[in-house]
Amino acid sequence: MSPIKPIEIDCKKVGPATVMTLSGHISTAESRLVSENLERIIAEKTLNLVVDMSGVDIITSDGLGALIRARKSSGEAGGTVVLSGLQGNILDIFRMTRLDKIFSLYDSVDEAVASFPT
Amino acid sequence: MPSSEASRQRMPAEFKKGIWYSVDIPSIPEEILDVEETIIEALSHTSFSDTDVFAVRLALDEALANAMKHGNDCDHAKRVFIRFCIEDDAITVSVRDEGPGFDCSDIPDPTIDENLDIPSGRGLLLMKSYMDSVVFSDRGNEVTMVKRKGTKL
Repeated sequence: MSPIKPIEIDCKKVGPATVMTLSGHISTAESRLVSENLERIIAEKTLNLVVDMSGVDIITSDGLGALIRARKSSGEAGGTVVLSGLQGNILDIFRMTRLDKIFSLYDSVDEAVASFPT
Repeated sequence: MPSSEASRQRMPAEFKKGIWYSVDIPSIPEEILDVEETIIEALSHTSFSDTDVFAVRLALDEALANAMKHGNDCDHAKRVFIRFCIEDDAITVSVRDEGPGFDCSDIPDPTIDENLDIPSGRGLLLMKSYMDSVVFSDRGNEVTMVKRKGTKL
């Protein structure tokens, strides 16, 4: 496994959605930063949010908690958070925790963006 | 000198199999990465697979976070004590905190439907899922985890 990669967070508008791309390690130390960014973008009235995780190498329970809180915050504001690009170990974690039952998962960003009405 | 720096200095440049190594860190989440790096570096000189290393890293992060948050109540003055030993077919890691201990049977199952949208409570599940053995001390303030080479989830 590669050395620890710092988390990188990037946001861009794609069609009807905002895509937040997370990459690197979402370990306990970085989860707060991820949560702050998610909550900030939701507070900016982003209703259709795609979180692309195709570049995420590891996610801990605190990182999962950040996504769950974002889903709740978005839902209370009338929005939706969907996830894209989960694969390998990350997809295994979502299945094992059964979080794949509460999040809509898409193979690609394009498919996730297309799930929102234009 | 930061305490984590002092701890790192106790680590040898080269790790030997079958030897127990110890390190302790303050209850600051950013310190977790240094411990992870140390143990992952030690594992990189073995034939543990990427999947094995992923499992150890994830479980270790969870155990350290639990010790800091739930054991030491995020008190930076309290320390977390880590011991690890790498052998040919397994790595054993123990994590101890200065807290009063806890009963892991008190933790609700995070995989049942009514708990799925609760943001916390998955650390122990991940540790047990990714390691071959997770055992708490009688007091509940120390967890010892074993990952055997090549075992699957």
